[in-house]
Amino acid sequence: MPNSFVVLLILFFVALGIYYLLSLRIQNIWLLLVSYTFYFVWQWQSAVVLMGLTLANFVLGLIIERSKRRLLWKSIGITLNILTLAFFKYRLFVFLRMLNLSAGLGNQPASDTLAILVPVGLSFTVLQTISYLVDVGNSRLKAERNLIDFALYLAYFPKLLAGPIERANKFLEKLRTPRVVNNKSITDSFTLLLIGLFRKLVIANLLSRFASETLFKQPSTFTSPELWMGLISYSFLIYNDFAGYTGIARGISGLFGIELSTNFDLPYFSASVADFWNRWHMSFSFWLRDYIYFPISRWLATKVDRRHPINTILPPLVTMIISGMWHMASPNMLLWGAIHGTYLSVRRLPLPGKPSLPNQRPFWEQVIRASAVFLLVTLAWVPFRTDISNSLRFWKGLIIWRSGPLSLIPLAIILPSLVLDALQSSNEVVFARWPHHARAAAIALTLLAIGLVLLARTTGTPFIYQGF
Amino acid sequence: METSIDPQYAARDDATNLKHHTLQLSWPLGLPVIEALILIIIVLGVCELLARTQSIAALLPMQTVGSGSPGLELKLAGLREFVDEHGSVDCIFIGDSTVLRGIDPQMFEVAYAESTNIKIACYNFGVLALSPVESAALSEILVEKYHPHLLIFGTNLRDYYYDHTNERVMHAITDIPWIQYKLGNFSPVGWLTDHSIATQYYLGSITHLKSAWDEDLSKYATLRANGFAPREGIIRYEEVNAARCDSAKKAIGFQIPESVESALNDLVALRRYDVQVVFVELPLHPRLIELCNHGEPDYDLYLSGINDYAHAANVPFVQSTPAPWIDLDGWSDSYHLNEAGAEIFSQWLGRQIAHAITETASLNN
Repeated sequence: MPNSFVVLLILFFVALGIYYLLSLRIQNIWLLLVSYTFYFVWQWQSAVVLMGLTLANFVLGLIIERSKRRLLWKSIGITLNILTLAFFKYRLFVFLRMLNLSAGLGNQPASDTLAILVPVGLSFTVLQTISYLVDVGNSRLKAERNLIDFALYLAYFPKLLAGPIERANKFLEKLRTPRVVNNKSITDSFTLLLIGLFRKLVIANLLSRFASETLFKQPSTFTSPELWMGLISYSFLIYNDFAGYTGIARGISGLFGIELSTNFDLPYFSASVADFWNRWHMSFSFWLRDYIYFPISRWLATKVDRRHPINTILPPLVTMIISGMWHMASPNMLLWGAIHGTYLSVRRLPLPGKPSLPNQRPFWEQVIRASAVFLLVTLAWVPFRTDISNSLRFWKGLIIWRSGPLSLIPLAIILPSLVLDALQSSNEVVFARWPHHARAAAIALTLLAIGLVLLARTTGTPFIYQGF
Repeated sequence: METSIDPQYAARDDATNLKHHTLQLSWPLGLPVIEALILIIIVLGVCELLARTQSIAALLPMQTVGSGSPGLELKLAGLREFVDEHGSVDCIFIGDSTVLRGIDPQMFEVAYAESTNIKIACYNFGVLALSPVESAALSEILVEKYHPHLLIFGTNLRDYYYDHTNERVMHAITDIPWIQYKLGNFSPVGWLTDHSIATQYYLGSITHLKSAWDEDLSKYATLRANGFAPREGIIRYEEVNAARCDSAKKAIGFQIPESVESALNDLVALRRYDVQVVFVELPLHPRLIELCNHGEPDYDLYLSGINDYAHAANVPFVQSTPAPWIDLDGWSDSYHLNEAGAEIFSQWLGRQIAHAITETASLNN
């Protein structure tokens, strides 16, 4: 555990203590100050980019609201945000092409040219600014007139790195409402924080050994059982890593009396791939649904009949391809998006049989469906993790059997993840309602497990979704 | 641009501004956390007690400081036992595998005693693939703890292969929290590793799970109580080939890389602990020197580079090549002496070091 972490922790509690003493309006200014300090310390260049985006979108929101040419200004605003994202996030792509070209001309560039800054959390910020401008443009939301609140909406530090992607109308309302931090909210926040840390530091950290980079970069050198176990490990690794991060973010935010959106709802127990997307990275899925999927569907409905196959296939396919490209502008992410788009399209095709609600189905059918969805989603994680040629090799290695010993250790690590899911299925802070001594034992066990893992692996790994 | 406050916001704020308190806590709060912390302290205390109980400790795997290097862990434990047995350690040899395989402290002690009439106790702290940066860091820890009179850094051409391209390899061991803690950079993990025996056993059990551990450990199968791990076998003259020249390529236009020079400076600076620092050239197979690059002229360039450095730093440098006194049957491979070669080399080294120290002492006087 680095010393800087301890310093950060102390500063956090000092900031929290001061926050409690302030009035509502000053609290927002204080939170903004703390958020920007955090951002400046992390990567000052990113803070400058965020400031620019904040000012531009604040002004654009006001212009859109007052303008008679809303569509034009809305389009300008969306384009500006997309260009910002493209410039910072996808510049590497463009640069590489340019470099290839210049190398072809015998003009070898210095490798330092590739050291491009990608502002932390930019992808998440841009989604929020776009939704804000669209909502203002469609009169679903009044343009924000308080620059402090608007800036805080974008910069609020618990959600800055990797969401949840908050909607302006809900979040800004929270910023205007007096907050209460009482025994219940403190207990709930610490519970979320502790479960989040356990998921990230214990489960995800331990699973990372079995879903190593080598496994995905050189799949041909591994046996089929190793590939299967590695892939299942990765599936639970990415889930626990991201769900863990969200838990930590929500827990920290809860201490400030601001509730952040839920991002996961037992995704690996989904009855269909569509259901999976309603439970996985929910704030992002719902954003895609509202700002990509619905507009495409509505537009197509004006062109072709609602039941036309194009109207069934195109909206999910385009939506999921955009989802893939949002994660990273690379062919493998395109493939990942296309796979999920195909899953969703097939799901929407009229199939024989009587439709029924998930909870009305017999238990065995629910298990089979959940297993099938897990399998489909897990197979699709391959191109999420590695390039296309290695993805093909990986899938080949899964199917064309090369026997070898099977290590069951990953399953032992996955088990706590499933137990946590089962316990959290009724209430995500269920532990907070346990009897006193049981809670103490659970806290002790969790802290010990975190401590032991940290001790064994003193160099931490960054959150996977922070990279997006 | 209008930035006036939303009236709704302002009204709500004014109404609550003075009266509202965000923090509304009531007692009892956090009792389970306090109870959990007490529980943790009890559990850890019991574990520490058990780890310090000899009958229990005998059942546990090896204690480690979490380095991931079986060699380092074996040497740390071995030196501890060595000092327990002899009361102190007078000289420590440090370096990579060439030191581990090439210097037999027992032979060295005999030759040294013959030349000086002084009986000393030496320990070989050679570890496979130890970089000069790691050697310097470990030397500081060892010198500070065991106060030897003599620190002998065994160097060979491969030490100068390290540069910015293999920075991570060069710092593999020095980055661990325990080493950093011992070097004065506090960290909770480093502190815990240093003070808690239970932690050391826990790290030992975790390290054993690493796939390469047993394989690496087997390379120390011949390890003796004085840290020497001889190697069997003889490489025939014609078997030495240019394929092993990779690490020797640094001899071309030889220069000491910046990071290695800094490590050498750190080694030299250990004299502040009243320890005599000596650099020793560990020889390479003569055939390898012939085959690699431009042969001897390049190798001489390397030797004069080290010589110049040692001269400037006022550190004795014992040059071992050309070494016709090492029989051609004294090599186990292109870089390492076998047991017979190590015996001859160690005796020779004992005499040379005795001579070098006497000479330095008389110059200083």
